[in-house]
Amino acid sequence: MTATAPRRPLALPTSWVRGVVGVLVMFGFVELLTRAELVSADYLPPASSLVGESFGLLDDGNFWSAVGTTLWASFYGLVRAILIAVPVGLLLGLSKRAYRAAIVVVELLRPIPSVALIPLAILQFGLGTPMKAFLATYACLWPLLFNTIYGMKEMDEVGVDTARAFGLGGFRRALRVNLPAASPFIFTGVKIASSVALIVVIAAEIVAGGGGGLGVEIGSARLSGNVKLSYAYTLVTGVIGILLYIVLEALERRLFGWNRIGQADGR
Amino acid sequence: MADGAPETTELTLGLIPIADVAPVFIAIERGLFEAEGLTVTTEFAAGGAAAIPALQAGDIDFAFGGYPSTYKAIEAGIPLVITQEAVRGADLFGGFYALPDSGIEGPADLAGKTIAVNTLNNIVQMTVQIHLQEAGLSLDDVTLVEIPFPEQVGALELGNVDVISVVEPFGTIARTSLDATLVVDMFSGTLDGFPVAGWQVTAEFAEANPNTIAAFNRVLVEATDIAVNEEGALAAIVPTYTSASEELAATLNYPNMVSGLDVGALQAVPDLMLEQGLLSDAMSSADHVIGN
Repeated sequence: MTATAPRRPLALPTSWVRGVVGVLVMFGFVELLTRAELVSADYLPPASSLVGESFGLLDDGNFWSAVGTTLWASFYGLVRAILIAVPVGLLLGLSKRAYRAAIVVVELLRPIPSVALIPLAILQFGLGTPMKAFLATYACLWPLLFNTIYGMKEMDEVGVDTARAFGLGGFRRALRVNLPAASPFIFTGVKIASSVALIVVIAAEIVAGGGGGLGVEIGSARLSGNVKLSYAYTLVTGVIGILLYIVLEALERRLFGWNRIGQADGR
Repeated sequence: MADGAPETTELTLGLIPIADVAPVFIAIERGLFEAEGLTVTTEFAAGGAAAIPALQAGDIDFAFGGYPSTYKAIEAGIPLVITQEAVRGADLFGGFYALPDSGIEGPADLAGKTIAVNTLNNIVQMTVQIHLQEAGLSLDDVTLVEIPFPEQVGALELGNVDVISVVEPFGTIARTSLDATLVVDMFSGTLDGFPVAGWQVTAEFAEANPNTIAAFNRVLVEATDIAVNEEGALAAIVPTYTSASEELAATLNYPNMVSGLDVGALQAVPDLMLEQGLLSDAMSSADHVIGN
């Protein structure tokens, strides 16, 4: 960790301005494409009308229940993945033997796209939240697992040796030294996994259906030939992704500021 | 028929959010399920392909789905039972459409053309094959491309395909937005009134729940009657559970919504599937309905 240049916390004003400029350019581009009739407005409604349609959704109870269903399945899937991947990652990061034994299985499972598991997941869990959460857990396992393992490998040896000198056994050492030291890496894994969870849950909802959710609404809008509504839901999904990112980014600054300014005291 | 109290009172229905399942929502809105002591929850499946595993998993009790998927599942060893018919072909419920200036005006013009179908080896492809045969052509004379219904109108406009084969609301959308030419009415000629989709349960559920199924069927008979005979009932209910606008719901061509079970009429499905090679052995529709 000491070798990497310390990153400054995001300088808010400029990054916000740049972000807004980026959005406006994209907005103008889509608006131009459709207004110039390069793309038929039947298939890509102008950005301005999409934004209007999206705001219209906010009054719709159906919309909020869809957001709730999707976020709940994503969250449930993510938390379960954390509970599995972090302990396993700690073990694999600590023990070379365990790592060698497990890596083949991990590399075998990892390339399987979670959408390919949808039919199996439906058979096992039906169409509802458990099915979606299962797929999200599966997809989230890998970034979390690898980030935990890498975090363990980047361990400051002095800290570990100190703990050893104080007579801390393997398990307590893992919990008191390795886990806190690896936590910034793990949190990066959580950030990646949180958007993965959202993507997988919505994909499952589009492909399979279910009791509700943003993907079900997107699919239903498609089936009714309501292109604008389908895009509006898609846009909202993107906005939720950004909000999620902002929240996690803020949480990271708060929790792991010590890591960024290089003051790991090991507590 | 069983008239006793329902064995299972809380039912989950697997549906596709399209006009075809309007009677269910009419029944929910008017409290017809409650009157039979049933509480229903609806889950949307993206298609029969997702609904059948969900039935097997016990996640849904009744699934609405197209018959070819049902019979293929039965042949694959999944014991499904059809409890009631729901949809048969009607005028303009489905159609093959081409661009107005394409010169494709009838089935005979289809030779050498590229035709979009929503899924290969399903009911739409079966109807394509029948209409080709009647024009003296076969599937070998055309190229089939798999494109989901919602994307077909766009594919036609962009020239990716010559002909699309869609069900409502996309036929109405193709006609109004592209002024598309109707090449063939999908359920016309020998396919007039062809059984399209119905309700199914697992054999296990059917055995354990004869009263529930009877009650469910009574509700759907009543609700279908309302859907078919009450002026404006469909146009009012469809926008409540689909994303179709009220204008679209008022203009689209609805399928022929039916209730009850006509085993003789249903037999046309496995027979045609056998003839077209979608089933490898003859199947009797009577063996796979409730009460058998």
